[in-house]
Amino acid sequence: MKNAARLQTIQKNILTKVFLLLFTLVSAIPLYYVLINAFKKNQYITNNPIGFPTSESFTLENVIRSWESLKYTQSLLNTVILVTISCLILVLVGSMAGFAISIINSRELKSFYVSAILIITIPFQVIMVPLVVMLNKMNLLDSYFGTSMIFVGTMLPIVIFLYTGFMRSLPKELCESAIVDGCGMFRVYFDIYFPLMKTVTGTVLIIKGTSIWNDFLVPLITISDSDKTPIIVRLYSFASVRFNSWELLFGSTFLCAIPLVIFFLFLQKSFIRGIVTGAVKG
Amino acid sequence: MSSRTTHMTTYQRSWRKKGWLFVAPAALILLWIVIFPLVSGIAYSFTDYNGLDTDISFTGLKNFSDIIKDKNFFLILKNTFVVSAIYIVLLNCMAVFLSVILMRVGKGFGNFVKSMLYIPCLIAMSIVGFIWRLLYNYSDGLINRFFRMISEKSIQDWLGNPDLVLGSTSIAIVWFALGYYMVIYCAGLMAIPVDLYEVADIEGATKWQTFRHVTLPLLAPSITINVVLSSMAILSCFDLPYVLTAGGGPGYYGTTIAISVYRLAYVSRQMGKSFAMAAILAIISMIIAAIELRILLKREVLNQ
Repeated sequence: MKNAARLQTIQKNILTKVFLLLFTLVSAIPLYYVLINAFKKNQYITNNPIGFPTSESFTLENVIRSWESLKYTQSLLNTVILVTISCLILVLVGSMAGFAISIINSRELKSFYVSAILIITIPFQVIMVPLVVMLNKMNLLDSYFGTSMIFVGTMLPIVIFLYTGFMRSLPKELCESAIVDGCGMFRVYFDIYFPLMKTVTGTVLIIKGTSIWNDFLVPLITISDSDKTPIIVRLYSFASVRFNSWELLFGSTFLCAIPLVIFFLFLQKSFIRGIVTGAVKG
Repeated sequence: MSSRTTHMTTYQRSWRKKGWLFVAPAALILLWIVIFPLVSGIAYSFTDYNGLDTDISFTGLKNFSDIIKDKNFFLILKNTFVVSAIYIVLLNCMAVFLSVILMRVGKGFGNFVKSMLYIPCLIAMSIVGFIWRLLYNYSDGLINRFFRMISEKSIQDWLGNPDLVLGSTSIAIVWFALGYYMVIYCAGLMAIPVDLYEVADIEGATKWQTFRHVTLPLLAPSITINVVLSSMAILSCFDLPYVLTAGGGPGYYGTTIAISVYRLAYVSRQMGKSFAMAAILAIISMIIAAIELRILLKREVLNQ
């Protein structure tokens, strides 16, 4: 009797696994489709779109040609610059604000916090056009700094939310004993709290770093200088013109997607942890 | 104890002033990047500003009435709601279902599934748009090749048919976002104490009863978060639908408010109308956010 029941659970378990495996495989088809066709000669893409590249159909030409037309290294560097500037400012400014909000008990700071949270609900499209008009007047279009500041401004509320939530969870005694030891506010922040914030900072870097890396609309409307275009916008302008050359589309899509995927495969655990803390707190 | 309390109040008092130094950079950036453009955008929406001319005249509600009178306005509004509704329901149901059954399999296999489903989130939405545009392609796309094997009649023009384009768009966005939301639900499920399931088991509850009366109520916080996150994200979602439908086609059948704001501003250069459209988007998302945040903040208070 007991054995029969156990057998049934095992069978059910296998069914669940088979279902999950099938689901995963089906949803991986688009990825597989891009991956294999990036390395196939054009006529094989149309004749046999899901076949694995053979010695006959394999080619590196799609990737090499896409690399050249995307100006890959340069546009990748542009993306890296944008992500770095934005993340540095986000982490510094966000953690400072979160620190003050969580440590100091004052009505003004609380209302600042609430208004910052309300900003999360404003869709970017609402401020998009006036923002570009303003940055244009300030000569900050086509500059890494101007574009980064848009990312910083729109993402800051969530980052403040994350840091505040984390610092509220730390014991109050931590700050109090530091004060008794004679630490000033800046020292409490830099020497005691900042090193403790590694996990939240990791979350911020992962969540916001990927969304800045992948953002399309902000650089599209702020950067027209082709030497400063990040990779995603470059792919868009390239692909809209050459939408009929599928082999180049596969090659360039592959090139654009691969850096973050590799990054993820190395840092899977931190990514998953980052999303969970990010979502539970914000 | 009392001396300690006084000490703390003194530091509170002196730090209250210094605290502004810590908040000032954030406050200034928000004023500069968000509040100022927001206010000027609202102001511009009552003028005939076109982005170039310096002489601007006040036109009252003309932009708004122009938009509402536009024969495509209600179509665009309907599109936004349809895409959002399909997306929010499909995404959250699938993510809950998958994460619940993921709890039943071993950790190693579970992590493999999670990672595989998470990879699409790492690809830029605009790239996902291109990938799905290839998949949906009428003559050579993978999806129609599959349906052609079943029967020639079952193939569809996924992006060209006005009845299908919104569904096709939603499915592509669900494919992109599923892994992210699933990870959040999995974390929520992990937090449910195991003994509750043991009790349910002893009481002889069926799988469905356990899900309905144990899992679902205890997963409610994650559901609230995910519904809020996904509805905010979809209302202003631009990249993927724009690329997938090649700018909101066919005609206006694939155009959402987010696409329309961009098109009015940068394609047809009708800045005033674009501002007004953006203001409408803001009102819609604020109403939805207000309803949802109310629930969220109430819970946050209860937890403290």
